[in-house]
Amino acid sequence: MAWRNIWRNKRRTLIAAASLYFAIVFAIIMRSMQLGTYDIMINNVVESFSGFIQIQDSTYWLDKSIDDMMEDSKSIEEDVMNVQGVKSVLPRLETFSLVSSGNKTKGAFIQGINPEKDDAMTHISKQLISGNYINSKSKGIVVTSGLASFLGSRVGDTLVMISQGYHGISAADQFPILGIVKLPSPQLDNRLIIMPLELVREFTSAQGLVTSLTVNIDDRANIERITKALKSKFKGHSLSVLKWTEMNKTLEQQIASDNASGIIMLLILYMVIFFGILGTVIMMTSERMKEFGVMVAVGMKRIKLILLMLLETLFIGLVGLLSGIATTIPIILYFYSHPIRLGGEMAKTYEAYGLEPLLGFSIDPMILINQFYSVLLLLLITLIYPVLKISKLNIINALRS
Amino acid sequence: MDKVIEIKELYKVYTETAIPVKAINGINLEFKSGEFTAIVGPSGCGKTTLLNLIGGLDKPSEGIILIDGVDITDFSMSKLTDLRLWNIGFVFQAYNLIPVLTAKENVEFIMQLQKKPKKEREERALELLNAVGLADRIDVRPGKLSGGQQQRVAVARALASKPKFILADEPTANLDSKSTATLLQIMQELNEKENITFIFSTHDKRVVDKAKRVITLDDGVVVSDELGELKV
Repeated sequence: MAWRNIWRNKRRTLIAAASLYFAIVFAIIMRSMQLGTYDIMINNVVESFSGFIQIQDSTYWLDKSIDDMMEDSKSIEEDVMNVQGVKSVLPRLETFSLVSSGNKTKGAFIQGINPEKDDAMTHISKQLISGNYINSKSKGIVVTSGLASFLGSRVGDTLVMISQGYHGISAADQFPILGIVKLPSPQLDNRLIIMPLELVREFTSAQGLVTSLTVNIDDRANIERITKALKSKFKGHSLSVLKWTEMNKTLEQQIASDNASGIIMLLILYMVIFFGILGTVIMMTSERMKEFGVMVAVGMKRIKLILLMLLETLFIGLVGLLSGIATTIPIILYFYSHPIRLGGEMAKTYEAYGLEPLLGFSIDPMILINQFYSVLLLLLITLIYPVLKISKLNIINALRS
Repeated sequence: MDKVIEIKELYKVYTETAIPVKAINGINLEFKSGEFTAIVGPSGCGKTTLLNLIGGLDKPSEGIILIDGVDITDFSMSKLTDLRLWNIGFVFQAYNLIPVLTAKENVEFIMQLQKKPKKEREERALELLNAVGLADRIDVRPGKLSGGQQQRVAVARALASKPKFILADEPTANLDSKSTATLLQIMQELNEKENITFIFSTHDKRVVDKAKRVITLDDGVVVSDELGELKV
């Protein structure tokens, strides 16, 4: 009966379902694009660079001084590896240096890593555009393409580096460029030099020390639990456990503010959906008060009438909702594997913020599930009107209407 | 014959208006099983109000209504709904069939509320539609039926639950002479052959002429209650 009732006024039902359909399609695509783009940002900056969690000497983060390093201890690494969800522990020694080639000089960020272990997380070797990637025993460096281009250097050239070593020792040396990588984040691509950990230790006279242990985790969703476990494990040690959101507040705030504007857009869309469906539900109720009166008069319980209205509203809602979800799935799947590369001014704006000008799409099923439940909730809220009308229904007045 | 309905000192006062209106003003009546009763009187005399009170669609201001000896005046809304479902059949002036259901489904509707098995519902619906002469229109929706046919479906629907009595509020008011005659003949036959109790409110002389008992109301009071031979 509910199904037949919704087709009593085909045009109205189709308009209501269509408005819901378009709102859902727009909402899912918009949300998928937002979250996908955040994923790209996080992937470019966090996963490829800082990692999601770092363990540092408790004094290091404040000044990032090379004098505040921690020991590269096997027992700490083992303790970290014992936490569920930790995939690997990457010892790193990071510092700054003046880099010079010919008459060009620039400040660069030096990252001393275990190339084999690190690459399993960052996959930076896949960004190689020239030369070869380094290994633990290499005596040369990998330079990012922006920096190489600024210095006018190529693979095989030598860069002179001057920096401050451990406890005031001056660090100066020259290193051959073994490879050039192009990183998606313009901010990193303009200033990063990657070196084997032992080579940086020699350069800075910091044997057996690291600035951080970067923790590679299995799933970003577990970050809170793993951080908590690590903090409790190293309580009492002079170590800090930092999440990426603490280390890269700018990116976190950028994402948070963009996310907030996205949620406002979603709320506006939900309002449109809500009032569209509410209008239909009000009409469906008001024009049938006499019929409701007859049904109750002949012995139908009011609760059954309310269930009938619930079914009718759900049918209309689900027609729009499910067709909207079905339409968006192939769209977001396509754009997930073919992200949109921005051009022109938009691209420049992204790059100015140090971000890759790429609009990605997320295929997180929670996007669809959240939309489904949100719209379902809105549909249930619209039912307040018929519930009130039916529960207060005066049979005599309804029959006279 | 058994007493189906007993009304004692019944009053209904509408207080929503500036001056309270006494629609029913101290009525005492009894209806027995198998009656074919017409309630007549001028417009506004209280006919429909009386039927609404007997049918549990409205509550009296004072007095008692006993259905099969049970006082229904203090029944809750839910209990009244059950009472109507299992004991009373309704025929309305404007037919009031459910537009999205076919004739057969309209008749089955009440049995469905009674949770009767599908087979039983279908058999009874076909039997009743056959009885009202609509065996060939079972799958037609109300919109495609004439007024007379719709009212016959309404009678079949009222009978579907095997009620103790049927209340019909001006059932022929919207029908032409031919449809009225057909409907009256059907109801008369059901009354005689199956001993079904019918109580009508009507202005229609043709209905009054067929009634076995005629109750006349005026200003909410019974002014006459005549028993007579069924006029054929």
